Amino acid sequence: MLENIAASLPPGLILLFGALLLPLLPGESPPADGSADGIWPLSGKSKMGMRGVLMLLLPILGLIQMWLLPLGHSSDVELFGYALQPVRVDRLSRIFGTIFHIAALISVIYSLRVRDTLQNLSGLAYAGAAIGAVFAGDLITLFVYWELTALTSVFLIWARRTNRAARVGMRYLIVQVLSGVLLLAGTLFHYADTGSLAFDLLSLDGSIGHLLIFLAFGIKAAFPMLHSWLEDSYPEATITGTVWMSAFTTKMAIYALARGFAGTEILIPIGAAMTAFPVFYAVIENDLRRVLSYSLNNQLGFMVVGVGVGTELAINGAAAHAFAHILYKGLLFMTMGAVLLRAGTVKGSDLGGLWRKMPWTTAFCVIGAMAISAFPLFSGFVTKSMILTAAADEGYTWTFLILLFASAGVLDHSGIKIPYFAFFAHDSKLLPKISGEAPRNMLVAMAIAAFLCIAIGVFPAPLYALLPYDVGDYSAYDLTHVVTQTQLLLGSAAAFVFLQKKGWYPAELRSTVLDVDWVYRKLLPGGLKATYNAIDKGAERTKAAVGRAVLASVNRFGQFFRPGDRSFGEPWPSGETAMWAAVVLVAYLVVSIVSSQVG
Amino acid sequence: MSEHEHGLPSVDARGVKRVLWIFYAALAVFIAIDVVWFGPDWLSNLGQDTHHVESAYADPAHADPAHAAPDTEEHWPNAEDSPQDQPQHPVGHTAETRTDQASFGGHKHGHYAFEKVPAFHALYGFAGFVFLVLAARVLRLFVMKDEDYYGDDAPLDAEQHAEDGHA
Repeated sequence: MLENIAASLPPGLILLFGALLLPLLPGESPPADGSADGIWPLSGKSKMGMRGVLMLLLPILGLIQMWLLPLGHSSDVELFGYALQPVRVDRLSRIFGTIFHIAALISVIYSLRVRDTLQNLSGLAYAGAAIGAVFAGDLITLFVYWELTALTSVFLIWARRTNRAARVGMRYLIVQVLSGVLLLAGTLFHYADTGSLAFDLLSLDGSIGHLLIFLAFGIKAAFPMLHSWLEDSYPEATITGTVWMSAFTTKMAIYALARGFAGTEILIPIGAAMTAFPVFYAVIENDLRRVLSYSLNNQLGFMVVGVGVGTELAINGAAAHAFAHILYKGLLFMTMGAVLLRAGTVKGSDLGGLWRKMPWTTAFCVIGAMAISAFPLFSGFVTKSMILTAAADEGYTWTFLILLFASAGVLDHSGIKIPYFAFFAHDSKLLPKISGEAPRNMLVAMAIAAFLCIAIGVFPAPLYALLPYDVGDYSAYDLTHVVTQTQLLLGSAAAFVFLQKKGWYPAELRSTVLDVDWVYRKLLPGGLKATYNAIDKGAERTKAAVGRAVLASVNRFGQFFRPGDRSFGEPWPSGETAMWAAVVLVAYLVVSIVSSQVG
Repeated sequence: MSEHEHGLPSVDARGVKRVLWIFYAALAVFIAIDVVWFGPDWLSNLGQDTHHVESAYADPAHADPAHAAPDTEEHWPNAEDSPQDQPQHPVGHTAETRTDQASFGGHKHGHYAFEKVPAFHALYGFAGFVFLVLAARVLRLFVMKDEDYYGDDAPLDAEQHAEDGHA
């Protein structure tokens, strides 16, 4: 009975449509005092209200419904003669669906004090769209959800209601919609080639359709050079919005790559580059939420390498790393959100010493930092090792070395820089103004994520059981691996101590760090403006020159027909007139002879 | 662009020292395990040309020929001769099960010879981190601009007026 109800509904729709009920329920309006991002700031008791209850229920109901669907379940419909498959349940879609529901639940708990219904509505709908996407069995359904994730999530940026957010949101939307358009175009080419819309392994075989789909996935997965929308937009969303956003879009793209392009070898260098270059930026970036965005990009690189290697171990590694990553990255964004709420800024240059006022947030941040750095007994350790092992198994030596280097880089920006500059280092001037710990609902959300980071690290078996392929007797915990990974991390940390003592570690400076988006934010607009001005000026000059030339030639023409100083009114001499008449007649003769010959 | 220099150190100097000592001790322990426990095995294999490759059953298309066969007595020239009980897929079998040959200590497994050098990972991490930070400082010379470089905070209608004025 329950199964039948569950089977009648595609996963994700409970969140997608349930979110639309939010505004219909009675609820408080946002605080009028302009407190941060619509968050009810009062400490102590706050009424959760019916909206809060609904928000909590939706991800739980969605998760139950999803798990009632058996593996292999699918629904087929025919629409306008096209065979579509809105639902396909297998182990790959189920693990992503599961973590998306968990992420939605944690985000909801984190957002319970948000009195701005727009944010809560779009967050839930966004999660629903992403869940729908990972269960889509055909490319058209995927496209619909793909675009929906863009349209729903942009409001998490715009909800800041600042000039900056308006601009950032528009840039974000343009890039996301571009990805959707590429996906649709690729789908049409693919359909023309194969007559099928099914979303299965596509592979880069030289067909234009598959290339377009690959690029569409690449944009949302933040491939190098296509990445800067991520670092541009995520740090500019609301306090809770960034937590929502960090979970879904990019991991949906990782899922899509794993489904469509597993074993595509070009993904290995792409992924390796993705792990390496953002860490340099993360060292010098001042906005700590932007540091985390670079870090997110770096973590996606590990997953892309896993998808590119494509063995069972590698795909398992990519899926497991996505699962663990959503939790610890969400946790880190939640801690920085709490800092932003209490201190009003997340600029490394302005923070420091916050552990005095926010000890719980500090502890959760350190747990998240250790999880992302892959310390033994934390989640990152048991998932990242699968990808590194798989890469080395297949003989990708350079990739292996780059991933090791990137792991040291992760320790720098997420393991040390985030907690150190926010909570330790030197006491911030803002410290006296900080009223205290994060609100209780935020602490609960952080605690759940932190608990899962440790639980997965200590007992990885339940996560391994969820993975797309059988894990066999793989274990991350053997003496060699524990010793080498801990050495790598402690050796890197020793370098941090060394550089700090020498005074070589770059100070946090208020600044903007230029990335690829500079091309479309400065170079192209500037170039276009300059080109327009040049053309404008050129056109003016040309117009003047042509004008002068025409005037001159008219004068000369006039001179030719008016030899001497005759004016237009004077009759021409008959001899001259006869000559011109003869010329015209000869010309007529020649033309008619030629045309008769040709005809 | 003001440097991060305000207020007092938030943790007193003794606390910092204590944390650092714990940290140095941990680093020393993990290097010591590498040297004392895995060292003998590494030394005993140092003179030999072949090195351990646990993933001999990995995809032969990618495998280095030197790595293709395990350095044990059971040497088989090609895949057809391999015993049927050899695992056919790398999943799950990278955790080393082979008995170690050294008289003392354990066998450090890994895919590459360089991984077995004692303290390789600590040194690689240290060097990588220093390179990363120094390279990032150089990068800063090229990509660091003022905080309001893009002017994203300017009112939207002001921009519109500016554009209208231009047009």
